[in-house]
Amino acid sequence: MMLKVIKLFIFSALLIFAINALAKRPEYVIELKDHLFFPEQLQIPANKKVKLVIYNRDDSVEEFDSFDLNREKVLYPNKKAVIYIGPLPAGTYRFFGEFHPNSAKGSIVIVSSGDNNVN
Amino acid sequence: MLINTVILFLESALPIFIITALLLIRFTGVYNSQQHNSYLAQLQLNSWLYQGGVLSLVMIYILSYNMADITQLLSGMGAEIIFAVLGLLIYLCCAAMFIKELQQSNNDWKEKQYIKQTLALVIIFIVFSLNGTDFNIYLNVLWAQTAQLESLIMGMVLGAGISISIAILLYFILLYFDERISFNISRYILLLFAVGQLNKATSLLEQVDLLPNGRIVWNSQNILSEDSEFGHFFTALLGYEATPSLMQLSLYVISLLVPIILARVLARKNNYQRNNRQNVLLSTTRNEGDL
Repeated sequence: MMLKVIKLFIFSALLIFAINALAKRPEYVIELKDHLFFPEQLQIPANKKVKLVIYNRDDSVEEFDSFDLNREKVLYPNKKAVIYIGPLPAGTYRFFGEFHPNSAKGSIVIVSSGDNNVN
Repeated sequence: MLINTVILFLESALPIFIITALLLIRFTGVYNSQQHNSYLAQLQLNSWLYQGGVLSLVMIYILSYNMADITQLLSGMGAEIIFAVLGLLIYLCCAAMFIKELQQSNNDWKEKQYIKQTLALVIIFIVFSLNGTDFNIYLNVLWAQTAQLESLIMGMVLGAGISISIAILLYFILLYFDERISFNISRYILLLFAVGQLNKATSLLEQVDLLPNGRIVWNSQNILSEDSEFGHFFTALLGYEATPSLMQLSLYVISLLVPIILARVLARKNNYQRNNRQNVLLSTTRNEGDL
């Protein structure tokens, strides 16, 4: 009985992983160059999960950090990083580079699109 | 630079000191007053700490050297998946230790100690490796940035001092509670630490869209900021999140309750079986006496 429960749990977990992993998400790009994020402000629609691709064009490590988005990822030199954000309500969500917080900063502005789809 | 280094210690290295304190209690607390009075015996009992520490140094080197490539694996999800799996392993080992200790009896004490030592070795190895890698990467960045080596070293000394002090305080406070109030307090704190690690794993999987990212349930950043000293401490100890999602909250509660319920069910089953065996023994003795 216990074994059946464990198998069911593992199957459900894999199903959830598969459903999320296979879903196509709109993609947005941010670049980090000379310890500055481009674009500094990015607009994405409300209530949608999106894929954020961050390219680090510098030769030093940076960390993409955002308390508002609850996201944190190390950006290695000349490599890209992928994170997913959302679905979020309309508003402004700030992010910054942990190692250069005075220069590497930006915000994601979530705008209401009138589309109420979630995920 | 000084403050940055201290914060780096609190973020990355504090969990290492906390788990060391939590596991040391399991081997030097009220359960282990028998047979281990000598210093050498105590050293042998805590061999999991030295072995785990040494092995993790090797793993830290391997992970730090290859982390840039690891992050590019699996469509950019490599680091998150590996760290999440290791976080899950920490949780499973701590939960197993939690459940096993409740089944402790005097007859198979040696076997239980061996299992506990193995679990402790695995936990220490993974926690040291994960947090040590983070610490090493961040330290290298700070080292490259700074022209003031003195403030970096001072920051490391301060950070180490704060982390060690917290660990020692935690150790003695939990030891006091175990002896005076209940044996189980330190055990539950270890379970909470494990659930915190699982919480981090959940957060990583949400970040790479392997788990659904529901709405944020509350925002307690104004009450207890993750960036504050207490915030760092509770994040390291309990996996505190100022903005938890519904998925994180649900998994947190479930992963806390499942080992507790399982431990109670198994302990009750063990007691029932032990009582049954005693009854059988008694009735056999009585029958022999009658004969």
